[in-house]
Amino acid sequence: MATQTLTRVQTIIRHGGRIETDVPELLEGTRVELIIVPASSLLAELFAKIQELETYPERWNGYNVAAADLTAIERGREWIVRLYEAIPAEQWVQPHVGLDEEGSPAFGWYQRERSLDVYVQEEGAHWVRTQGKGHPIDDGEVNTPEQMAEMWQWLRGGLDEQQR
Amino acid sequence: MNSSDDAVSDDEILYRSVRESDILRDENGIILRIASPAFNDRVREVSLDRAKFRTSEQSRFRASDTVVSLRAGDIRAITDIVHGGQQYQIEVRPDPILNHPEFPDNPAHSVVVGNPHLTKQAFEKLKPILALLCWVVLEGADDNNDVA
Repeated sequence: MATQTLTRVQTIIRHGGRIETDVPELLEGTRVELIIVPASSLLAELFAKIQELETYPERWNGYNVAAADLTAIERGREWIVRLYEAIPAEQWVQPHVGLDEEGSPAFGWYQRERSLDVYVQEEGAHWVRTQGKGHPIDDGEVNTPEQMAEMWQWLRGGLDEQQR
Repeated sequence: MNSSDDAVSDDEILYRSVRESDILRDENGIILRIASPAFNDRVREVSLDRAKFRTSEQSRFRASDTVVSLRAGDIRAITDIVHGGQQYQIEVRPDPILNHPEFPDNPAHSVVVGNPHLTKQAFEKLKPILALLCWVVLEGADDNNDVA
């Protein structure tokens, strides 16, 4: 049996993390397949839903909408991981995952009359929130951890109200 | 007999077909809400069918879709779409599709439009309001979520 030299391989993962692993010394041309499983089952569930979006063709809902934009979906995947990392795990609420009319990802949290939609676009992510009829509809950017925390605080406020 | 290019009256009921992926249900499968992307439209004019010319069954694209309805007067009463200092008036107008090279005839077709024409940001504010105003009239026949 041939002796195998262990080589330390470092892989930068697209979603902000990195893994290091020991693998047998690689011969040139060897194909290495890495299966990356998100640490959280909630993220795994989200990733599965996002992956489904990638298959949406033009006019997928019967109306005038674009096919999934794969570059935009990748941006959305990265954004939701950053949000997930910015929020205390015990506070996390799974979003609705969809596409906007241009094929970019849209994340939504809905509680009775309150809704929070986040659109992740090339120029950045922004939210649109409503509290029902008679309330102003406002919007803002959500790219930094501070903006994410502020957005989440508003969302949590609605959940607390609902539980009272 | 009314003509399908007559003005849409405030008391008219309008239908929209919604894919299962944009329906929010509780753990028992009961519909809780409709998600904002259910009102997506690339030219930012939301297509709705006028109930006086089409049934809810005729308005849905596939058996698994849920059909929701809205009242024209409720849509026109939306006054809080403001973006960049511009306030938008929301209107519903008839837009019958006849002899279109791409789409099948639909004399019941109408559109929700903004005056002035909605910007992307203004349209993103309209969609959640439409999702709040609508109610379910015909639930999807099964849970097939295949979009292709």
